[in-house]
Amino acid sequence: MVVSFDFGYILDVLPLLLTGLKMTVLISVTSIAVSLIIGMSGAVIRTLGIPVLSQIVVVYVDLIRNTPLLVHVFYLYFVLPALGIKLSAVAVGIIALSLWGGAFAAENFRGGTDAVPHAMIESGQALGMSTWQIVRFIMIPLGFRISFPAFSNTAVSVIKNSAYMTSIGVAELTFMAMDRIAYDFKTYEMLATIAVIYLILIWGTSYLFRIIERKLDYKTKTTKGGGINGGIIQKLKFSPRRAD
Amino acid sequence: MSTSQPKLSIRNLQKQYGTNVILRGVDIDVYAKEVIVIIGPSGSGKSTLLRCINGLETINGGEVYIDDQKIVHTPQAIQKVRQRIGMVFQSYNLFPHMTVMENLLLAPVKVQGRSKTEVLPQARILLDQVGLLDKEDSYPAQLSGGQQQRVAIARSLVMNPEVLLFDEVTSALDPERVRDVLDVMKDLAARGTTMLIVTHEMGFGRDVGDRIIFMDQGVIVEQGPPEQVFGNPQEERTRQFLRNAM
Ligand SMILES: Nc1ncnc2c1ncn2[C@@H]1O[C@H](COP(=O)(O)OP(=O)(O)OP(=O)(O)O)[C@@H](O)[C@H]1O
Ligand SMILES: [Mg+2]
Repeated sequence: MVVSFDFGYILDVLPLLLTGLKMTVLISVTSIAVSLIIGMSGAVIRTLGIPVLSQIVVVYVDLIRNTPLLVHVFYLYFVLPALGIKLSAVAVGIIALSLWGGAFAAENFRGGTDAVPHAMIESGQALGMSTWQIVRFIMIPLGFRISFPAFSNTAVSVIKNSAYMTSIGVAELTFMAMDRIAYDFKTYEMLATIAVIYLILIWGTSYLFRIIERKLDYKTKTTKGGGINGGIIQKLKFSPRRAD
Repeated sequence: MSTSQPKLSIRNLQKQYGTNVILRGVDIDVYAKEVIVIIGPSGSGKSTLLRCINGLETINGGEVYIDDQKIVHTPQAIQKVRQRIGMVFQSYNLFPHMTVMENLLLAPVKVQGRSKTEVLPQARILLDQVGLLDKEDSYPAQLSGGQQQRVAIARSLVMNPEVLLFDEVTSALDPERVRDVLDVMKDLAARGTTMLIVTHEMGFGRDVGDRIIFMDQGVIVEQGPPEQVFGNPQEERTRQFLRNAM
């Protein structure tokens, strides 16, 4: 069977898909930002070994990482209302993605703070710094830099996982496409188009994260403020990271 | 006599890891402006001794006094003590995400609560003293090992410590960089800085030390002025060590 591919159709539905894309970007960006905060706080709590809170973080991370995202989404969307907490689909989407990303980010940043050489911590101690000052001025900034590449993988996964929100009717990119397929039956065109849009979105995001990564990399800095702007950007090869 | 009171007093210091006894009762009095050089074979407990003085290690027996005040190991107390006793490590350990100047400012501003405007000129003077004034905006990765070590020394000095501990600060350096760092330390000695220096550089130790301490297996075997310990050692173990080290 020869599949006919209707390019004109793609142009017709593009505006519709772009409103979906806007929603995808909105929930993804918000969730990535919240993931960053949850992840960093979780990593600091575990690094400091704060009693009770540490255990809560461990349980939270384990729970999220070992259960499907779709189950979190359905739980928030269908079970919470029964407990008297009613949230909009968009709110559920953002909360579910943030909790998911936060759990992975907590592991990412934990890896980073763990990788801070012990000698660095002793150096801080020898200068009379308190534990909190060592965490605040050495472990967080250094750990963040070390684990940023891992966190960018998590961020990209958050974007891809935003497609799950179709299941509760959030008007994001995948939902808009599936919804329209039900009317027009242009399945090939629609799926090919959103695949390309996702690809561009995720490449773009990866590229952005690469730039941030370079900015954070103290090994490539020459002097404060300088350094980054000249040679480094040119050397920056664009290779989208594979995220899974 | 007011000068008879030691700046730092180590009394019967004992340290063990599990059943492995590292320090078996070490006594040292360090007087203001004195430079003490500690030598001894690998594993004799030199680093452990320095780390016990500023509380990086807990001690199992004995006491350390600074100005007659016993050092106690509660977090607040030990943090205060560490502001008075600086330490420079073999592996320099500059904070890699901060510029040279940021490395120097961090502790005085955050720990001692001094204002940046007050610390900055002092930091510049110290960078000049270690020959790196032009590097204040560089990141550690851009500096050679010797330069990083000199920054680490300046970073300790900017806290205005009363005593400085040096643990083999030239051992990780290329031979041609060693001289620069030793010169900085000689300069400090000439300025009357009170120092405890652990080193394998015997020639340097002889030049700079007011007193040489030879340690082996967790005890002080012999101590005295450089001419005596290097020129006419009394103990067989010292002689043996020096034969191998020179
Ligand atoms: N954290 C530790 N746990 C267990 N044993 C340790 C620890 N730190 C040091 N030791 C042991 O204590 C002994 C003394 O070590 P120390 O580092 O003080 O020796 P050193 O005189 O500084 O030697 P070097 O000249 O090689 O630096 C060694 O046998 C070492 O294996
Ligand atoms: Mg040692």
